[in-house]
Amino acid sequence: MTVQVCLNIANLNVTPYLGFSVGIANLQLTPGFYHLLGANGAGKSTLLDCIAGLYCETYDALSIANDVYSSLSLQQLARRRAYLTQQNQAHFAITGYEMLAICFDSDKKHLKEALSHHPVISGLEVENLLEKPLQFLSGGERQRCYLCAALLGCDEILKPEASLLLLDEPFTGLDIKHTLWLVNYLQQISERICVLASHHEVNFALKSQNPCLLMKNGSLIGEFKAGRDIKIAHLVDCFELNSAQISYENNAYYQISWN
Amino acid sequence: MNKQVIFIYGMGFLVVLLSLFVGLNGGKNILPWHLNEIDKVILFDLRMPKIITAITVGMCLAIAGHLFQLLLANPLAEPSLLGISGIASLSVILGAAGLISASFDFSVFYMFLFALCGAALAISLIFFIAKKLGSFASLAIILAGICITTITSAISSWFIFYSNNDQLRVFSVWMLGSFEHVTVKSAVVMLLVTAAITWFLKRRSRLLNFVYLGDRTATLHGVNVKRLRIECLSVAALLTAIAVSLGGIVAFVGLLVPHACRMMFGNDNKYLLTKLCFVGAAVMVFIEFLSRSLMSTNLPLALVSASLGGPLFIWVLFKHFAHRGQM
Repeated sequence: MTVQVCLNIANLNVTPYLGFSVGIANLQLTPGFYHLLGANGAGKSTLLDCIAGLYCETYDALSIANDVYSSLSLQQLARRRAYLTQQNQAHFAITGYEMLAICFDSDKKHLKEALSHHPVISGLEVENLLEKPLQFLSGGERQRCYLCAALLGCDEILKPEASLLLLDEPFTGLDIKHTLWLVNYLQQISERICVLASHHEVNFALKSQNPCLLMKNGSLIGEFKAGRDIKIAHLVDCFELNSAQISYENNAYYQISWN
Repeated sequence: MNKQVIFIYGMGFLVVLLSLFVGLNGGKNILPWHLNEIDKVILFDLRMPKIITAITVGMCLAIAGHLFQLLLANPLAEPSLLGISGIASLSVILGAAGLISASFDFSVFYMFLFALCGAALAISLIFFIAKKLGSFASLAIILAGICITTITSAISSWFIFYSNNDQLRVFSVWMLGSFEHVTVKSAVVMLLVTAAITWFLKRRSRLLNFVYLGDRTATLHGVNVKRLRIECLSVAALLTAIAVSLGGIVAFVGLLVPHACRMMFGNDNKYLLTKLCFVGAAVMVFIEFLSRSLMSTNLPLALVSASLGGPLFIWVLFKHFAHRGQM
Protein backbone atom coordinates (compact mmCIF):
# COMPACT_ATOMS: atom_id res chain seq x y z
CA MET A 1 0.00 0.00 0.00
CA THR A 2 1.44 3.39 -0.96
CA VAL A 3 1.36 6.08 1.70
CA GLN A 4 0.04 9.47 0.62
CA VAL A 5 2.75 12.15 0.90
CA CYS A 6 1.16 15.40 2.07
CA LEU A 7 4.27 17.54 2.07
CA ASN A 8 7.67 17.04 0.51
CA ILE A 9 10.65 19.28 1.19
CA ALA A 10 13.85 18.92 -0.82
CA ASN A 11 16.82 21.28 -0.48
CA LEU A 12 14.92 24.09 1.18
CA ASN A 13 17.02 27.12 1.95
CA VAL A 14 15.74 30.54 2.93
CA THR A 15 17.33 33.59 4.52
CA PRO A 16 14.55 35.71 6.04
CA TYR A 17 17.05 38.28 7.30
CA LEU A 18 20.78 38.79 7.27
CA GLY A 19 22.63 36.35 9.51
CA PHE A 20 19.84 33.78 9.87
CA SER A 21 18.78 31.07 7.49
CA VAL A 22 16.60 27.98 7.57
CA GLY A 23 17.75 24.93 5.63
CA ILE A 24 16.11 21.51 5.33
CA ALA A 25 17.79 18.93 3.09
CA ASN A 26 14.98 16.41 2.88
CA LEU A 27 11.69 15.88 4.69
CA GLN A 28 8.54 13.96 3.80
CA LEU A 29 5.37 14.26 5.83
CA THR A 30 2.45 11.84 5.52
CA PRO A 31 -0.90 12.14 7.33
CA GLY A 32 -0.21 12.44 11.04
CA PHE A 33 0.16 14.84 13.93
CA TYR A 34 3.74 16.20 13.96
CA HIS A 35 5.21 18.20 16.82
CA LEU A 36 7.75 20.80 15.75
CA LEU A 37 9.93 21.58 18.76
CA GLY A 38 12.83 23.89 19.36
CA ALA A 39 14.06 26.80 21.43
CA ASN A 40 13.01 30.38 20.72
CA GLY A 41 14.59 31.57 17.50
CA ALA A 42 15.27 28.05 16.23
CA GLY A 43 13.45 28.84 12.96
CA LYS A 44 10.15 27.02 13.58
CA SER A 45 7.91 29.91 12.51
CA THR A 46 10.11 30.65 9.48
CA LEU A 47 9.84 27.01 8.41
CA LEU A 48 6.05 27.12 8.81
CA ASP A 49 5.93 30.38 6.81
CA CYS A 50 7.94 28.71 4.03
CA ILE A 51 5.63 25.70 3.99
CA ALA A 52 2.63 28.06 4.00
CA GLY A 53 3.99 29.68 0.83
CA LEU A 54 5.03 33.07 2.18
CA TYR A 55 8.54 32.82 0.68
CA CYS A 56 8.20 32.51 -3.09
CA GLU A 57 11.94 31.81 -3.49
CA THR A 58 11.37 28.39 -1.84
CA TYR A 59 8.54 27.25 -4.12
CA ASP A 60 10.71 24.84 -6.12
CA ALA A 61 11.80 23.08 -2.93
CA LEU A 62 8.26 22.39 -1.73
CA SER A 63 5.46 20.19 -2.97
CA ILE A 64 2.04 19.53 -1.51
CA ALA A 65 0.27 16.27 -2.40
CA ASN A 66 2.84 15.73 -5.20
CA ASP A 67 2.30 19.18 -6.75
CA VAL A 68 5.28 21.54 -6.67
CA TYR A 69 4.36 24.94 -5.18
CA SER A 70 5.69 26.72 -8.27
CA SER A 71 3.01 24.97 -10.34
CA LEU A 72 0.24 26.28 -8.09
CA SER A 73 -1.21 29.77 -7.71
CA LEU A 74 -1.46 31.21 -4.21
CA GLN A 75 -5.24 30.74 -4.35
CA GLN A 76 -4.83 27.05 -5.24
CA LEU A 77 -2.29 26.64 -2.45
CA ALA A 78 -4.65 28.41 -0.02
CA ARG A 79 -7.30 25.77 -0.73
CA ARG A 80 -4.85 22.96 0.06
CA ARG A 81 -3.45 24.15 3.37
CA ALA A 82 -4.68 25.97 6.43
CA TYR A 83 -2.38 27.99 8.66
CA LEU A 84 -2.76 29.42 12.14
CA THR A 85 -0.13 32.14 12.39
CA GLN A 86 1.37 33.29 15.65
CA GLN A 87 0.39 36.92 15.20
CA ASN A 88 -2.98 37.73 13.75
CA GLN A 89 -4.07 41.32 13.28
CA ALA A 90 -7.67 41.93 12.25
CA HIS A 91 -8.38 45.60 11.66
CA PHE A 92 -11.42 47.58 12.75
CA ALA A 93 -14.28 45.95 14.61
CA ILE A 94 -14.30 42.75 12.54
CA THR A 95 -16.30 40.00 14.26
CA GLY A 96 -15.35 36.34 14.21
CA TYR A 97 -18.24 35.48 11.88
CA GLU A 98 -17.20 38.29 9.53
CA MET A 99 -13.68 36.85 9.51
CA LEU A 100 -15.03 33.39 8.66
CA ALA A 101 -17.33 34.86 6.00
CA ILE A 102 -14.30 36.52 4.37
CA CYS A 103 -12.19 33.36 4.57
CA PHE A 104 -14.95 31.16 3.09
CA ASP A 105 -16.29 33.82 0.70
CA SER A 106 -19.75 33.38 2.11
CA ASP A 107 -22.55 35.43 3.56
CA LYS A 108 -22.28 35.90 7.32
CA LYS A 109 -25.88 34.85 7.98
CA HIS A 110 -25.71 31.69 5.89
CA LEU A 111 -22.33 30.73 7.30
CA LYS A 112 -23.65 31.13 10.84
CA GLU A 113 -26.52 28.77 10.12
CA ALA A 114 -24.29 26.27 8.31
CA LEU A 115 -21.75 26.14 11.14
CA SER A 116 -24.12 26.18 14.10
CA HIS A 117 -23.69 22.44 14.80
CA HIS A 118 -20.12 22.05 13.59
CA PRO A 119 -17.90 20.13 16.07
CA VAL A 120 -15.19 22.82 15.88
CA ILE A 121 -17.63 25.55 16.92
CA SER A 122 -18.99 23.50 19.80
CA GLY A 123 -15.62 22.05 20.83
CA LEU A 124 -13.91 25.43 21.04
CA GLU A 125 -17.12 26.99 22.45
CA VAL A 126 -16.87 29.98 20.15
CA GLU A 127 -20.49 30.39 19.03
CA ASN A 128 -20.99 33.53 21.15
CA LEU A 129 -17.41 34.77 20.79
CA LEU A 130 -17.70 34.83 17.00
CA GLU A 131 -20.48 37.42 17.32
CA LYS A 132 -18.11 39.91 18.98
CA PRO A 133 -15.36 42.08 17.44
CA LEU A 134 -12.08 40.16 17.65
CA GLN A 135 -10.24 43.17 19.02
CA PHE A 136 -12.39 43.24 22.14
CA LEU A 137 -11.83 39.59 23.11
CA SER A 138 -9.25 38.34 25.60
CA GLY A 139 -6.08 36.71 24.24
CA GLY A 140 -7.33 33.16 24.83
CA GLU A 141 -10.78 33.87 23.39
CA ARG A 142 -9.24 35.46 20.30
CA GLN A 143 -6.91 32.46 19.90
CA ARG A 144 -9.95 30.15 19.97
CA CYS A 145 -11.60 32.19 17.19
CA TYR A 146 -8.46 32.12 15.01
CA LEU A 147 -8.04 28.39 15.74
CA CYS A 148 -11.64 27.90 14.66
CA ALA A 149 -10.88 29.59 11.32
CA ALA A 150 -7.75 27.45 10.82
CA LEU A 151 -9.49 24.18 11.72
CA LEU A 152 -12.46 24.97 9.47
CA GLY A 153 -9.92 25.80 6.75
CA CYS A 154 -9.01 22.11 6.54
CA ASP A 155 -12.46 20.71 7.21
CA GLU A 156 -13.31 17.64 5.17
CA ILE A 157 -16.59 19.11 3.87
CA LEU A 158 -15.82 22.83 3.71
CA LYS A 159 -12.34 22.44 2.18
CA PRO A 160 -12.12 18.92 0.70
CA GLU A 161 -8.83 19.71 -1.11
CA ALA A 162 -6.95 20.54 2.12
CA SER A 163 -4.19 18.10 3.02
CA LEU A 164 -2.03 20.18 5.36
CA LEU A 165 -2.71 22.07 8.60
CA LEU A 166 0.06 24.30 9.96
CA LEU A 167 -0.25 25.56 13.51
CA ASP A 168 2.16 28.06 15.04
CA GLU A 169 1.84 27.88 18.82
CA PRO A 170 -1.78 26.73 18.86
CA PHE A 171 -1.89 26.19 22.62
CA THR A 172 -0.89 29.76 23.51
CA GLY A 173 -3.58 31.35 25.65
CA LEU A 174 -5.82 28.29 25.72
CA ASP A 175 -7.12 26.95 29.03
CA ILE A 176 -6.62 23.27 29.81
CA LYS A 177 -10.17 22.28 28.77
CA HIS A 178 -9.82 23.69 25.28
CA THR A 179 -6.22 22.48 25.00
CA LEU A 180 -7.35 18.91 25.64
CA TRP A 181 -10.21 19.24 23.17
CA LEU A 182 -7.81 20.61 20.55
CA VAL A 183 -5.31 17.79 21.05
CA ASN A 184 -8.08 15.22 20.69
CA TYR A 185 -9.46 16.92 17.56
CA LEU A 186 -6.01 17.18 15.96
CA GLN A 187 -5.43 13.46 16.62
CA GLN A 188 -8.70 12.73 14.83
CA ILE A 189 -8.06 14.81 11.72
CA SER A 190 -4.44 13.68 11.52
CA GLU A 191 -5.69 10.32 10.24
CA ARG A 192 -6.75 12.15 7.07
CA ILE A 193 -4.32 15.10 6.72
CA CYS A 194 -0.89 16.19 7.91
CA VAL A 195 -0.94 18.41 11.00
CA LEU A 196 2.33 20.20 11.74
CA ALA A 197 2.22 22.11 15.03
CA SER A 198 5.03 24.21 16.40
CA HIS A 199 4.69 24.68 20.15
CA HIS A 200 6.49 24.71 23.50
CA GLU A 201 4.54 21.96 25.29
CA VAL A 202 7.63 19.74 25.36
CA ASN A 203 6.30 17.42 28.09
CA PHE A 204 3.18 16.76 26.06
CA ALA A 205 5.21 15.95 22.96
CA LEU A 206 7.53 13.67 24.94
CA LYS A 207 4.60 11.66 26.28
CA SER A 208 2.82 11.41 22.95
CA GLN A 209 3.09 8.70 20.34
CA ASN A 210 3.14 11.30 17.58
CA PRO A 211 6.18 12.02 15.42
CA CYS A 212 8.39 14.90 16.56
CA LEU A 213 10.79 17.18 14.69
CA LEU A 214 13.53 18.99 16.60
CA MET A 215 14.93 22.25 15.25
CA LYS A 216 17.98 24.23 16.20
CA ASN A 217 19.62 27.21 14.49
CA GLY A 218 17.44 26.88 11.41
CA SER A 219 18.12 23.17 10.83
CA LEU A 220 16.38 19.92 11.65
CA ILE A 221 18.51 18.14 14.23
CA GLY A 222 16.21 15.20 14.81
CA GLU A 223 13.24 13.38 13.35
CA PHE A 224 11.52 10.91 15.66
CA LYS A 225 8.63 8.52 15.05
CA ALA A 226 7.26 9.16 18.54
CA GLY A 227 7.93 11.63 21.35
CA ARG A 228 9.03 8.74 23.52
CA ASP A 229 11.98 8.12 21.20
CA ILE A 230 13.54 11.46 22.14
CA LYS A 231 16.47 10.97 24.49
CA ILE A 232 17.86 13.25 27.17
CA ALA A 233 20.86 14.03 24.97
CA HIS A 234 18.55 15.36 22.26
CA LEU A 235 16.76 17.66 24.70
CA VAL A 236 20.04 18.88 26.15
CA ASP A 237 21.30 19.68 22.66
CA CYS A 238 18.07 21.19 21.33
CA PHE A 239 17.11 23.38 24.30
CA GLU A 240 20.57 23.82 25.82
CA LEU A 241 19.39 22.34 29.09
CA ASN A 242 21.41 20.88 31.91
CA SER A 243 20.77 17.11 31.94
CA ALA A 244 20.13 17.33 35.70
CA GLN A 245 17.04 19.42 34.92
CA ILE A 246 15.40 16.51 33.10
CA SER A 247 13.83 13.90 35.35
CA TYR A 248 12.06 10.63 34.69
CA GLU A 249 9.50 11.20 37.39
CA ASN A 250 6.68 13.60 37.64
CA ASN A 251 6.78 15.32 40.99
CA ALA A 252 3.43 17.06 40.73
CA TYR A 253 0.73 16.15 43.24
CA TYR A 254 -1.92 16.10 40.55
CA GLN A 255 -1.57 15.82 36.81
CA ILE A 256 -4.15 16.24 34.08
CA SER A 257 -3.62 13.55 31.50
CA TRP A 258 -2.97 14.63 27.92
CA ASN A 259 -4.65 11.47 26.65
CA MET B 1 -33.48 44.78 3.31
CA ASN B 2 -33.76 45.40 7.06
CA LYS B 3 -35.59 48.27 8.79
CA GLN B 4 -32.38 50.19 9.50
CA VAL B 5 -31.41 50.24 5.82
CA ILE B 6 -34.92 51.35 4.77
CA PHE B 7 -34.82 54.11 7.42
CA ILE B 8 -31.42 55.34 6.24
CA TYR B 9 -32.49 55.30 2.58
CA GLY B 10 -35.71 57.13 3.49
CA MET B 11 -33.76 59.77 5.40
CA GLY B 12 -31.44 60.24 2.42
CA PHE B 13 -34.37 60.73 0.09
CA LEU B 14 -35.92 63.25 2.50
CA VAL B 15 -32.64 65.19 2.69
CA VAL B 16 -32.59 65.55 -1.11
CA LEU B 17 -36.22 66.77 -1.12
CA LEU B 18 -35.45 69.17 1.73
CA SER B 19 -32.43 70.52 -0.10
CA LEU B 20 -34.43 71.00 -3.32
CA PHE B 21 -37.50 72.74 -1.95
CA VAL B 22 -36.59 74.40 1.36
CA GLY B 23 -34.68 77.67 1.56
CA LEU B 24 -34.77 78.68 5.27
CA ASN B 25 -32.82 81.93 5.83
CA GLY B 26 -30.72 81.76 2.70
CA GLY B 27 -33.31 81.19 -0.02
CA LYS B 28 -36.84 80.71 -1.18
CA ASN B 29 -39.16 77.91 -0.03
CA ILE B 30 -40.65 76.24 -3.12
CA LEU B 31 -43.89 74.26 -3.35
CA PRO B 32 -43.35 71.40 -5.82
CA TRP B 33 -47.00 71.46 -6.95
CA HIS B 34 -46.94 75.20 -7.66
CA LEU B 35 -43.86 76.07 -9.72
CA ASN B 36 -43.51 79.43 -11.45
CA GLU B 37 -40.70 80.44 -13.81
CA ILE B 38 -38.51 81.83 -11.03
CA ASP B 39 -38.98 78.64 -9.01
CA LYS B 40 -37.92 76.57 -12.02
CA VAL B 41 -34.76 78.65 -12.44
CA ILE B 42 -33.96 78.29 -8.72
CA LEU B 43 -34.63 74.54 -8.79
CA PHE B 44 -32.99 73.50 -12.04
CA ASP B 45 -30.28 76.12 -12.56
CA LEU B 46 -29.24 76.94 -9.02
CA ARG B 47 -30.06 74.07 -6.67
CA MET B 48 -29.94 71.00 -8.93
CA PRO B 49 -26.26 71.41 -10.01
CA LYS B 50 -25.23 71.87 -6.40
CA ILE B 51 -27.18 68.81 -5.27
CA ILE B 52 -25.71 66.62 -8.03
CA THR B 53 -22.26 67.97 -7.16
CA ALA B 54 -22.87 67.29 -3.46
CA ILE B 55 -23.93 63.73 -4.27
CA THR B 56 -20.75 63.19 -6.33
CA VAL B 57 -18.44 64.76 -3.75
CA GLY B 58 -20.11 62.82 -0.91
CA MET B 59 -19.71 59.53 -2.78
CA CYS B 60 -16.06 60.30 -3.62
CA LEU B 61 -15.10 61.33 -0.10
CA ALA B 62 -16.90 58.43 1.61
CA ILE B 63 -15.37 55.78 -0.65
CA ALA B 64 -11.92 57.39 -0.68
CA GLY B 65 -12.01 57.69 3.13
CA HIS B 66 -13.00 54.04 3.50
CA LEU B 67 -10.26 52.91 1.11
CA PHE B 68 -7.62 54.95 2.94
CA GLN B 69 -8.75 53.63 6.33
CA LEU B 70 -8.90 50.04 5.13
CA LEU B 71 -5.71 49.91 3.05
CA LEU B 72 -3.64 51.85 5.58
CA ALA B 73 -5.17 49.93 8.52
CA ASN B 74 -5.67 53.27 10.20
CA PRO B 75 -9.06 54.37 11.56
CA LEU B 76 -7.97 58.03 11.44
CA ALA B 77 -7.05 57.98 7.76
CA GLU B 78 -8.93 60.21 5.32
CA PRO B 79 -8.13 61.78 1.93
CA SER B 80 -6.04 64.53 3.55
CA LEU B 81 -3.86 62.20 5.67
CA LEU B 82 -1.46 61.37 2.86
CA GLY B 83 -1.43 64.93 1.54
CA ILE B 84 -3.28 63.93 -1.64
CA SER B 85 -6.11 66.47 -1.25
CA GLY B 86 -3.50 69.07 -0.19
CA ILE B 87 -1.40 68.69 -3.35
CA ALA B 88 -4.53 68.37 -5.53
CA SER B 89 -5.97 71.65 -4.23
CA LEU B 90 -2.57 73.37 -4.41
CA SER B 91 -2.18 72.39 -8.05
CA VAL B 92 -5.73 73.64 -8.79
CA ILE B 93 -4.85 77.01 -7.23
CA LEU B 94 -1.56 77.20 -9.10
CA GLY B 95 -3.30 76.20 -12.32
CA ALA B 96 -6.04 78.77 -11.77
CA ALA B 97 -3.48 81.49 -11.06
CA GLY B 98 -1.53 80.59 -14.21
CA LEU B 99 -4.51 80.24 -16.56
CA ILE B 100 -6.44 83.24 -15.26
CA SER B 101 -3.35 85.47 -15.58
CA ALA B 102 -3.13 84.20 -19.17
CA SER B 103 -6.81 85.23 -19.66
CA PHE B 104 -7.85 81.61 -20.13
CA ASP B 105 -11.33 80.31 -19.28
CA PHE B 106 -10.86 78.15 -16.19
CA SER B 107 -13.69 75.57 -16.12
CA VAL B 108 -14.34 72.53 -13.92
CA PHE B 109 -12.65 70.35 -16.54
CA TYR B 110 -9.35 72.21 -16.07
CA MET B 111 -9.78 72.17 -12.31
CA PHE B 112 -10.22 68.38 -12.47
CA LEU B 113 -7.21 68.08 -14.75
CA PHE B 114 -4.99 70.05 -12.35
CA ALA B 115 -6.40 68.22 -9.31
CA LEU B 116 -5.76 64.90 -11.05
CA CYS B 117 -2.17 65.90 -11.86
CA GLY B 118 -1.66 66.94 -8.23
CA ALA B 119 -3.17 63.71 -6.88
CA ALA B 120 -1.14 61.62 -9.34
CA LEU B 121 2.04 63.43 -8.32
CA ALA B 122 1.24 62.92 -4.64
CA ILE B 123 0.47 59.20 -4.91
CA SER B 124 3.53 58.62 -7.15
CA LEU B 125 5.78 60.36 -4.61
CA ILE B 126 4.21 58.34 -1.79
CA PHE B 127 4.79 55.04 -3.61
CA PHE B 128 8.33 56.13 -4.52
CA ILE B 129 9.20 56.97 -0.89
CA ALA B 130 7.47 53.78 0.37
CA LYS B 131 9.51 51.72 -2.10
CA LYS B 132 12.71 53.36 -0.90
CA LEU B 133 11.64 52.55 2.67
CA GLY B 134 11.54 48.91 1.58
CA SER B 135 7.86 48.00 1.53
CA PHE B 136 4.36 48.96 0.52
CA ALA B 137 3.04 48.20 4.00
CA SER B 138 0.63 50.66 5.59
CA LEU B 139 3.22 52.16 7.95
CA ALA B 140 5.67 52.97 5.13
CA ILE B 141 2.89 54.59 3.10
CA ILE B 142 1.65 56.66 6.06
CA LEU B 143 5.20 57.87 6.79
CA ALA B 144 5.63 58.78 3.12
CA GLY B 145 2.26 60.55 3.21
CA ILE B 146 3.27 62.58 6.25
CA CYS B 147 6.38 63.75 4.35
CA ILE B 148 4.18 64.85 1.43
CA THR B 149 1.70 66.61 3.75
CA THR B 150 4.52 68.53 5.42
CA ILE B 151 6.01 69.62 2.09
CA THR B 152 2.58 70.65 0.74
CA SER B 153 1.81 72.60 3.87
CA ALA B 154 5.18 74.38 3.57
CA ILE B 155 4.54 75.31 -0.09
CA SER B 156 1.03 76.58 0.78
CA SER B 157 2.46 78.65 3.63
CA TRP B 158 4.98 80.26 1.24
CA PHE B 159 2.15 81.20 -1.12
CA ILE B 160 0.03 82.61 1.69
CA PHE B 161 3.02 84.60 2.98
CA TYR B 162 3.63 86.23 -0.42
CA SER B 163 -0.02 86.80 -1.44
CA ASN B 164 -1.85 90.08 -1.15
CA ASN B 165 -5.17 90.38 0.71
CA ASP B 166 -7.43 89.61 -2.26
CA GLN B 167 -5.40 86.59 -3.35
CA LEU B 168 -5.32 85.39 0.25
CA ARG B 169 -9.11 85.54 0.50
CA VAL B 170 -9.60 83.66 -2.81
CA PHE B 171 -7.07 81.08 -1.64
CA SER B 172 -8.74 80.67 1.77
CA VAL B 173 -12.29 80.45 0.36
CA TRP B 174 -11.18 77.78 -2.10
CA MET B 175 -9.55 75.80 0.71
CA LEU B 176 -12.82 75.97 2.69
CA GLY B 177 -14.86 74.42 -0.11
CA SER B 178 -17.60 75.63 -2.44
CA PHE B 179 -19.81 74.29 -5.27
CA GLU B 180 -20.46 77.70 -6.86
CA HIS B 181 -18.38 77.07 -9.99
CA VAL B 182 -19.92 73.72 -11.01
CA THR B 183 -22.36 73.35 -13.94
CA VAL B 184 -24.95 70.57 -14.33
CA LYS B 185 -23.09 69.04 -17.25
CA SER B 186 -19.75 68.81 -15.44
CA ALA B 187 -21.44 67.52 -12.27
CA VAL B 188 -23.24 64.76 -14.19
CA VAL B 189 -20.02 63.72 -15.99
CA MET B 190 -18.17 63.49 -12.66
CA LEU B 191 -21.09 61.53 -11.16
CA LEU B 192 -20.87 58.99 -13.98
CA VAL B 193 -17.10 58.68 -13.55
CA THR B 194 -17.61 58.14 -9.80
CA ALA B 195 -20.28 55.50 -10.45
CA ALA B 196 -17.88 53.67 -12.82
CA ILE B 197 -15.13 53.76 -10.17
CA THR B 198 -17.56 52.38 -7.57
CA TRP B 199 -18.43 49.52 -9.94
CA PHE B 200 -14.70 48.83 -10.44
CA LEU B 201 -14.21 48.68 -6.67
CA LYS B 202 -17.24 46.47 -6.13
CA ARG B 203 -15.62 43.92 -8.41
CA ARG B 204 -12.66 43.92 -6.02
CA SER B 205 -14.77 43.79 -2.85
CA ARG B 206 -13.83 40.18 -2.10
CA LEU B 207 -10.11 41.00 -2.25
CA LEU B 208 -10.63 44.18 -0.23
CA ASN B 209 -12.39 42.14 2.47
CA PHE B 210 -9.21 40.11 3.03
CA VAL B 211 -7.32 43.32 3.90
CA TYR B 212 -9.42 43.51 7.10
CA LEU B 213 -7.56 40.39 8.27
CA GLY B 214 -4.11 41.95 7.84
CA ASP B 215 -1.53 41.75 5.06
CA ARG B 216 -0.16 38.39 6.14
CA THR B 217 -3.51 36.62 6.32
CA ALA B 218 -4.59 38.21 3.04
CA THR B 219 -1.40 36.95 1.37
CA LEU B 220 -2.00 33.47 2.80
CA HIS B 221 -5.40 33.48 1.10
CA GLY B 222 -3.81 34.25 -2.24
CA VAL B 223 -4.29 38.02 -2.36
CA ASN B 224 -1.52 40.08 -3.95
CA VAL B 225 -1.69 42.75 -1.24
CA LYS B 226 0.98 45.00 -2.74
CA ARG B 227 -0.78 45.20 -6.10
CA LEU B 228 -4.20 45.65 -4.50
CA ARG B 229 -2.88 48.45 -2.28
CA ILE B 230 -1.24 50.31 -5.19
CA GLU B 231 -4.32 49.85 -7.38
CA CYS B 232 -6.91 50.90 -4.80
CA LEU B 233 -4.90 53.77 -3.32
CA SER B 234 -4.52 55.14 -6.85
CA VAL B 235 -8.29 54.89 -7.26
CA ALA B 236 -8.76 56.63 -3.90
CA ALA B 237 -6.43 59.40 -5.13
CA LEU B 238 -8.55 59.75 -8.29
CA LEU B 239 -11.71 60.04 -6.18
CA THR B 240 -9.99 62.67 -4.03
CA ALA B 241 -9.05 64.61 -7.17
CA ILE B 242 -12.70 64.59 -8.31
CA ALA B 243 -13.89 65.77 -4.88
CA VAL B 244 -11.26 68.53 -4.72
CA SER B 245 -11.97 69.77 -8.25
CA LEU B 246 -15.69 69.97 -7.50
CA GLY B 247 -15.70 71.32 -3.97
CA GLY B 248 -12.23 72.08 -2.59
CA ILE B 249 -11.20 70.47 0.68
CA VAL B 250 -14.22 69.30 2.71
CA ALA B 251 -13.23 68.04 6.12
CA PHE B 252 -14.65 65.15 8.17
CA VAL B 253 -16.95 63.53 5.55
CA GLY B 254 -14.16 61.19 4.44
CA LEU B 255 -13.36 60.36 8.05
CA LEU B 256 -16.77 60.04 9.68
CA VAL B 257 -19.02 58.53 7.02
CA PRO B 258 -16.94 55.32 6.61
CA HIS B 259 -16.93 54.78 10.39
CA ALA B 260 -20.67 55.39 10.65
CA CYS B 261 -21.41 53.06 7.72
CA ARG B 262 -19.22 50.24 9.03
CA MET B 263 -20.95 50.52 12.41
CA MET B 264 -24.43 50.55 10.87
CA PHE B 265 -24.09 48.10 7.99
CA GLY B 266 -21.14 45.85 8.87
CA ASN B 267 -17.76 45.56 7.21
CA ASP B 268 -18.47 43.45 4.11
CA ASN B 269 -17.34 45.51 1.11
CA LYS B 270 -19.78 43.65 -1.14
CA TYR B 271 -22.61 45.63 0.47
CA LEU B 272 -20.72 48.44 2.17
CA LEU B 273 -19.51 50.29 -0.94
CA THR B 274 -23.03 51.01 -2.20
CA LYS B 275 -24.15 52.16 1.23
CA LEU B 276 -21.08 54.35 1.57
CA CYS B 277 -22.06 56.06 -1.67
CA PHE B 278 -25.59 56.60 -0.45
CA VAL B 279 -24.78 57.86 3.04
CA GLY B 280 -21.83 59.99 1.82
CA ALA B 281 -24.09 61.58 -0.79
CA ALA B 282 -26.89 62.21 1.74
CA VAL B 283 -24.52 63.75 4.29
CA MET B 284 -22.91 66.00 1.68
CA VAL B 285 -26.31 67.12 0.34
CA PHE B 286 -27.32 68.01 3.91
CA ILE B 287 -24.06 69.95 4.45
CA GLU B 288 -24.60 71.80 1.18
CA PHE B 289 -28.20 72.56 2.20
CA LEU B 290 -27.06 73.99 5.55
CA SER B 291 -24.25 75.97 3.92
CA ARG B 292 -26.66 77.89 1.70
CA SER B 293 -29.74 78.10 3.91
CA LEU B 294 -28.50 78.81 7.44
CA MET B 295 -27.42 82.40 6.73
CA SER B 296 -28.25 84.98 4.13
CA THR B 297 -24.84 84.35 2.49
CA ASN B 298 -23.43 80.99 1.43
CA LEU B 299 -21.16 79.50 4.08
CA PRO B 300 -18.02 77.56 3.06
CA LEU B 301 -18.68 73.80 3.05
CA ALA B 302 -15.69 72.88 5.19
CA LEU B 303 -16.88 75.33 7.84
CA VAL B 304 -20.25 73.58 8.10
CA SER B 305 -18.84 70.05 7.82
CA ALA B 306 -16.19 70.65 10.49
CA SER B 307 -18.68 72.40 12.80
CA LEU B 308 -21.06 69.44 12.55
CA GLY B 309 -18.44 66.72 12.27
CA GLY B 310 -16.37 67.58 15.35
CA PRO B 311 -19.16 67.29 17.94
CA LEU B 312 -20.70 64.35 16.07
CA PHE B 313 -17.38 62.50 16.16
CA ILE B 314 -17.07 63.06 19.92
CA TRP B 315 -20.64 61.74 20.36
CA VAL B 316 -19.86 58.63 18.28
CA LEU B 317 -16.66 58.04 20.25
CA PHE B 318 -18.44 58.22 23.59
CA LYS B 319 -21.38 56.12 22.43
CA HIS B 320 -19.51 53.29 20.75
CA PHE B 321 -15.91 53.33 21.92
CA ALA B 322 -16.01 54.33 25.56
CA HIS B 323 -13.60 52.18 27.65
CA ARG B 324 -12.48 50.23 24.59
CA GLY B 325 -9.35 52.15 23.75
CA GLN B 326 -9.07 50.83 20.20
CA MET B 327 -11.06 51.19 17.03
